[in-house]
Amino acid sequence: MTASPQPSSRWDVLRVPLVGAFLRWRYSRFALQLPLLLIAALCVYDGLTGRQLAPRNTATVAVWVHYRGLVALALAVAGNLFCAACPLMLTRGPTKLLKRFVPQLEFPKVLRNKYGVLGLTLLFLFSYEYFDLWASPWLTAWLILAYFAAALLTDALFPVGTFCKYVCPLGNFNFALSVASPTQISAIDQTVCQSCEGKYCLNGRVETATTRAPLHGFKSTHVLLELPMVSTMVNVSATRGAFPGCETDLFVPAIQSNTDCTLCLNCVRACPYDNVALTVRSPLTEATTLRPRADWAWFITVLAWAGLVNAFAMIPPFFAVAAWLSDLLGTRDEALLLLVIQGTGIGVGALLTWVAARGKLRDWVGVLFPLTLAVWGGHYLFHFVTGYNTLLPNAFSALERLGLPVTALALPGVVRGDGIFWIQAVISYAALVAAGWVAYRKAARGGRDARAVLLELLPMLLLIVFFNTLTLLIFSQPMQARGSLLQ
Amino acid sequence: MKRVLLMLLTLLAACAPQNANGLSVTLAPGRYSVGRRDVLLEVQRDGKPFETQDLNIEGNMTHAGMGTVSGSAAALGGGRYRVKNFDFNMSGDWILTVSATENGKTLTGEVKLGVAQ
Repeated sequence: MTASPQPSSRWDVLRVPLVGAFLRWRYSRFALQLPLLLIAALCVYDGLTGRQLAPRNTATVAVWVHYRGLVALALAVAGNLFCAACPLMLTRGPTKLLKRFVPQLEFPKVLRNKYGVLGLTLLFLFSYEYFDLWASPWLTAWLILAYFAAALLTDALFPVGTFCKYVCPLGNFNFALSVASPTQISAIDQTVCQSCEGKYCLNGRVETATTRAPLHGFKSTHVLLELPMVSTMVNVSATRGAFPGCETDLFVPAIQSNTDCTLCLNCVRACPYDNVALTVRSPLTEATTLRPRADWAWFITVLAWAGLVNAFAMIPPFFAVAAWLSDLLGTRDEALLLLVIQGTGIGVGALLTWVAARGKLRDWVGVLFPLTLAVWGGHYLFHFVTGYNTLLPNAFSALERLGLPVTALALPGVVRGDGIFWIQAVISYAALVAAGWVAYRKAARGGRDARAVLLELLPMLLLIVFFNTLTLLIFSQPMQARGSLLQ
Repeated sequence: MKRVLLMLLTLLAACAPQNANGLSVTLAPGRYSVGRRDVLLEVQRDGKPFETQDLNIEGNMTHAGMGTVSGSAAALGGGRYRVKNFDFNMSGDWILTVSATENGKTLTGEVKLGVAQ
């Protein structure tokens, strides 16, 4: 029997002229990673040797203004592009070299979930405020170097992909927000996957003129059991060479979520049957259909409320609360005060969500997807819009110090960003409507009558309105940047 | 563990390049709020009043992405200077950097201040 991929009814980005050809190109990821690697190198150089003023240094501007703003924008309109272009993955070469000299360990089973990276993310958010990372080019440069070192060491000691899946707070932040992205990797024709003898999207492929085999053998068997192989061989000519499979162990026909997908497109190149698509979907698809694992549900819940707390730390009432708390507790220990504020905000928010879901967080967490993207996106939008034009002057200044023939540019004046609120409000209300729709879809499952649907819906609707009200209240306040918690 | 982390970060921060170069700056006592404000500065070099007719001032916020406000200071004598109508157009922490040239060498100094809403 000869099968051929059936045209998908959904729009496939990989079939778009030029864009598709570029994405399928073997070196497309490298082409995206290289500019970011060069920018990262410039950030490290300027952060360590340049002027130690955050608005006057490439490290702080590129990382805390442009990276964050463009991440949110890319996730909202396209997908997880920044994991796709992640320069940290250029450590793969040194990783392979290191693997010859260091012991090869299994990542501990107890850590093969999102609780570990949830802890790292909270540690990062605390450090961000406590050490004023946003105000220090020097620490930002060291943070970049630490990230490269962590990626290198983690994937040298443990199986490749461990860093992305279980360690990287940035990557998991992107995974979490990409659940509301409008694209997703999927199989074009499931029957082709069933007859695939090598599950190459997962295992990788090495192809010669006469042979075809998984790159490093079969990674695991559980996915084979889900989609049993049949003995037919699909007869499609494929490109020759060695093509790695998915580093985060995703099997294309089983993918129902963007979680753990770095959009590296290894699966596209590894599939000899051209059966992988990057389909365009509704941003609410996952929110309405997905029932994630408990660890992932808690990760997204915490991230949603952490987004509010992170934005709250930029407005005057945050400092008023800190002063009040300082008097109440009789301490000026900023670490303690910050821990109490962050812990209370995130803890109470997560508890409220759990209560509104009546303990069924996995069933209801989809409601938070649009709200989470809106609160992080709205906050990052403020910084991006007020500071997008400050990168080039700083980068040119650093390049000039390196001896490159560039013309210095003047830094523009301070932009208050007051006019951004209406855009933030539109985003927040769109998220409110989307979350309400998701909640309704979930409440209406199983053909309940109207009264039962309303009773099921009400607690979550109250939570959505509460979350959205807090978001708008925070966005409506004048933003300010302050390094010290107490006056 | 926390102590080790703090020590490590302090060590790293101690190695960071310093912005101030030769001048020390103090602000006249006062409370600053958003808007165009006069700023009174006292500038010293090696503990003595620093006198120049060409003192520039640059204001930056501590957060990345914020632009710059520039101005020039008028000498009042005795190392004291006044900057008129300096545009503090956003609340938060600001860093004022003064710079002047002496014998072909650029001298700089910094002072931090909080600007209320």
